[in-house]
Amino acid sequence: MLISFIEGFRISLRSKKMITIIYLSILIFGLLAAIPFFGSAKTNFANSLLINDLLKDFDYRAYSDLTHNFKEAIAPFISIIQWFGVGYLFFSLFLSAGILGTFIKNENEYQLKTFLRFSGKYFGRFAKLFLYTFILQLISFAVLTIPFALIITSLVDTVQSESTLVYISLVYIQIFVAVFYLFSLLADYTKIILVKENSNQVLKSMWSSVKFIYRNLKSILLYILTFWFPVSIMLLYLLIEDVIGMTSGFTIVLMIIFQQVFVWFRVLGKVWILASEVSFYDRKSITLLTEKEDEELDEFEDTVTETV
Amino acid sequence: MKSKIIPLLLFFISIQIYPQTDKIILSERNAGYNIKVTLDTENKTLTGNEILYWKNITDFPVDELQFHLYLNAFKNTKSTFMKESGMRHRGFGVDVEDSLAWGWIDITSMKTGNEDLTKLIKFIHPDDDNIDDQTVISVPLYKSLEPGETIQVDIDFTAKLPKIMARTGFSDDYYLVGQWFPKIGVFENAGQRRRETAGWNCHQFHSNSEFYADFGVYNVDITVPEKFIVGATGVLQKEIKNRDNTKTLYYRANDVLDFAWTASPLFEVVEDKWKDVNIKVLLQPQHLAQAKRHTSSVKNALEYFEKHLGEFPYPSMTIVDPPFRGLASAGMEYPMFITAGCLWGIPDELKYTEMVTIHEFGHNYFMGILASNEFEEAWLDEGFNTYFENMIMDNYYGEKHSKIDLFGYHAGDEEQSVQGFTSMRNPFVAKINNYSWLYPNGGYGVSSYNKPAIYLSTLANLLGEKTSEKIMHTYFDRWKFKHPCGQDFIDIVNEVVKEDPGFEYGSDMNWYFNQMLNSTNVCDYTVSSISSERQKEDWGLFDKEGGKNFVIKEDNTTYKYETKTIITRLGEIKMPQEILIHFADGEEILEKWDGKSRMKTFTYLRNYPIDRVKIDPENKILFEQKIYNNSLSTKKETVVVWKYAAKFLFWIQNTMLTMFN
Repeated sequence: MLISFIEGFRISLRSKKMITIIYLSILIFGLLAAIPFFGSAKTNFANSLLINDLLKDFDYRAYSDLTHNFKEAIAPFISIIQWFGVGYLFFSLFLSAGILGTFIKNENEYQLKTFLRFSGKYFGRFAKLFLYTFILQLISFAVLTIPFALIITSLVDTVQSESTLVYISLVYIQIFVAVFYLFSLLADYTKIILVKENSNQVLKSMWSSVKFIYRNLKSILLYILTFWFPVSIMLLYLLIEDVIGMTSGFTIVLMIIFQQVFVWFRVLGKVWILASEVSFYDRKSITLLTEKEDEELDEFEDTVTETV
Repeated sequence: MKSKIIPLLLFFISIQIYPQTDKIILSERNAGYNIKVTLDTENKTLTGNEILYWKNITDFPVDELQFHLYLNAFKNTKSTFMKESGMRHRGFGVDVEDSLAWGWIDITSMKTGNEDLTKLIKFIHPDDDNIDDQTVISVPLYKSLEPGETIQVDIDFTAKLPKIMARTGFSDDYYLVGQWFPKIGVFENAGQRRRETAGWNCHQFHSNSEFYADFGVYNVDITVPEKFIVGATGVLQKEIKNRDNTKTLYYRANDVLDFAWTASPLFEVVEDKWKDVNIKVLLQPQHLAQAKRHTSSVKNALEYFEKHLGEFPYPSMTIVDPPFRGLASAGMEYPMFITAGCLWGIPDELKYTEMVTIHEFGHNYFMGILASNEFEEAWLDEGFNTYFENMIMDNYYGEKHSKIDLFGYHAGDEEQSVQGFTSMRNPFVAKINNYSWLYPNGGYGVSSYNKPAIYLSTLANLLGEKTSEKIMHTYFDRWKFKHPCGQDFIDIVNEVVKEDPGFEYGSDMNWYFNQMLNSTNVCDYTVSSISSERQKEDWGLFDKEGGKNFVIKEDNTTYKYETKTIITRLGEIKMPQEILIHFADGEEILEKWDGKSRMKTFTYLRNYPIDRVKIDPENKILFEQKIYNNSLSTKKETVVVWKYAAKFLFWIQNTMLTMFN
C-alpha cells in the first residue's frame, strides 16, 4: 500500500499540467459565482462604513446586520453554491474519466486532446456508475440511519446521561463515514476496471471491484484514513488564516494566493489518491471473475440496463 | 383581642426558632410559612401541612384570602397554562397519554383557629374567563382581617408532581419541586404600584410568568428517602434520620418570597464560597468537570451585582444542574436557589452554561429582592436581568467574545441581545408595557428580555457611567423588598438626571421611556446623501480703476467647496443623534441633532469635500434597526469586499472539490 502511495505521488508530480488544468476548471466555475458576488457586495454594502468592522476581525453585529438586511441579495448565492456543487459533481465524472484514461492508457503523459477523448469516452459509463453508487449509498444511509434513529429515540426516554447519546452518535458517524468511503473506493476501483478492461458493463465491473476490495481489504481499508487528509488540511488552513488574518490589502492578497495554492494542492491530493489506486490495482490485480460469474453478470447487466 | 395576640406570638416564636439567621430583618415579612412536606417517590406525590402567618400590612380590611395553587396548571388540557402554551413549554411537551405526566394540588383542609374554611374555597379566574383553570382560589373569611392584624391559616395539602414541565416536576429519580405549596397572593395597598384602590393581586399561572409574592420567613421540613441528596431555598438547619429509611431536612429562609427544592440520589455536591455567601452546586455526575463553570459564574455575578447594584443579602446560593431527561427544569430562578443547565462535552468556548447561571442568579435581585410584579411588568425582571447578564458576561468573558468564541468567529452576549431584537421579522409585534399573558401575536420573549435590556444599555450610554450607576444604586437601595413598579424606576431616573449638571436631554427622560415602553415604533436613521459642489467662481465685468475689467475664472473664492450631507429619520422613534462628519483632508466635526425632524442637512464651506459620514459613531443607540445605513462613504470600501469575495471563492472551490467524484 505504501509503495502504491509513493508511486501515486510520483505519477501525480509528473501530472502537474493536468492538475493545473483541473484546478483552472475549478477556478473558472468558482469565479462564475464569485464575480457576481463581488459585484453585488460592492453595490449593496461598499458605501457603508459598517463593512470596515469586518476587516480587522469578525464582527457579529455587523455580520448579523448585513445578513439580515440583505438576506434577499445573499440568498441566490447560497443557492448558487448548492447548484454549482451538483453541477461540478457531474463535471468531475468527466474529469476523472480523463485522469484515469491518461494514467492507464496514455502512460501518464498528459495531452489535453487525449485527456478530453478519454473524458468523453468514459463519461457515460462513469455517470451510470455514479447512479448505481448513489443508489447504494442511499440504501446504506437508510440501513444505517433507521436503526440509529430507533436506538436514539428509545434511549432519549430512558438514558440517564446525554453522554451516552453523544457516544452512540459518534459511533454512527464513524460507521457512516467508513461505509460512505468504502462505496467511494468501490466506485474508484470500478472506474479503474472500466478503463483498464475498456468494459461497457458497469455492474460487472462493480462486482469485480467488490472482489478486488474484498481480497485486499486490509490494505484498502487504510485508504479510509485518507478521509482525514482533507479534514486535516482544512483545519491547517483555518489555523493559517487565523495567523495571517485578512486585515489589510497586503494580507488579503497574500491569503488569496495562499487559498489558491491550497486549492491546487487539494486537486493534487485527489489526483494522488486516484493515481495510487491505479498503481495498487496494477500490482494486485489478477483474474477476478470466474467464467460462470462472468456469464451470469453479463445477463444481469443486460436486464438492469434495459430496466434503467 | 386574644385571638389576635396568639397568632402574633406564634408567628414571632416561629421566626425565633433559628435565631442565628434573624439578626437583620430586611423585609416586611408579612407572609411566614411553616411547612412540613413528605415526598413519596413511588407515587410522585407530596403530602404537606402548611401553617401560614399572614399580616395585613395595608390600610384596608381584608375579607377574603387568595392563594395560588400553581400545580393545578398541569392538571389537564383546560388550564390556562396549557391553553396558552399549547401544552409545550420551551420545546418540551406533555406526554398526554401518560397519566403520571399530569400534576395537581388539592387542599384537604384549611382552618383558621377553630373555623374550618375548607368548604368555602372556590376557584377564581382573575385574568381570563377560563372557568376550568384551578390555579387561584379565593377563601372568604368569617371575620374581616383589620389593618395590622395577622391571621394564622392551617392548611393540609396533597399534590402530585407532573413529569417535568415548565421547570417543575420529576424525571426518574430527579425532583425539582417548585410552585408546589398553597401560596398566598399579594393584597396591595391603595397607591402601591400606583393602583388606585386596595385589592388582591393574585394571578393565574401563565405560560410566561410566575412571580409576585409577599416576603416572609419560610421554615420548611422536607422528608425524603434517605439516599436522596436535597438542595433548597435557604439554609439547612439540621438533618435527622428517621426510622423508616427516610430523613428530614430542616430549612429556613428569611426575607424571601418563594421556596423551591430539589432531590435526587445522583447529585454530586460541589461547594464554594464568595465572601459570606455559601455556594452549593448539585451536579449530575457526568458534568462534574464543569463544576467550576457554575461556581465561577455565580462568583462573577455576585461581585458585579454588589458593585453595580447592591449587596447580595442572603447567606447561600444553590445551583441545580438538571439531568438530561430533566432539562425542562433548566434555567429557572427561585430565591437563593436556581437551576442552570449544561451538556456533557460542551466546550469552554460556548458559554451558555455561564450565561444561564448568571441570568438565573440575577433574578434573585429583580424577581427576588426588588420583587416587582412579573405578571404585569415582566420587563422589570427579565429586562433588567438580561441587561445585567449582558454586562456581566461581556465584562468577565470579553466584549464581543463572551457567548461564542470558536475558530475566529465570536459573539458577545449583548450583541446577541441586540441581534435578537433587530433581526425580528416583525419588530412591531408587541410593546414592552404589556401583561405577560397578553401577547396574542407572540413577541413576549423579545419584548420582555432583549428590548428592555438594550433600551437600558442605551440609557446608560446616553447618560454616562456615573449617572447610570447612581440610578441603579438608588433604585435598588430605595426599592429593595418593596415591590416597585416601572414608574418608580422612571421617577428615579428623572430624579438622578436632574442632579447631573451635564444632562443634555431636556427636563427629564419621560420622552425616552414613553417611546421605549408604550410603543412598537422602531429607530432607524440613515445618511441619505453626501454632495459637494465647487464654489461659483467670478465671471463677467467688474469695475476697476480706469474702466471695466472682464474677469474669467478668477479663483478668488474663500473656500473651494460647498459640501453637505443629509440625514433622514426613517423610523418613528426620535432620538438625539451625534453625527461624525469627516472631510477629505482629515478634518472631523461631531455634530449634534435632536433627531426630531424627518430630515436634517449639514452644510459646510471647506477647501475639501466631505468624504464620509457616520451617525452615532460611538454606537450608543443599540436599538437602531439598521446600522449599515448609519454611515456613508463617497468612495467604495472595496478592501473588505475583496476579502469576502475571496473567501466566497475559496469555499465554493472547496465545495466543488468535496463533490469531486
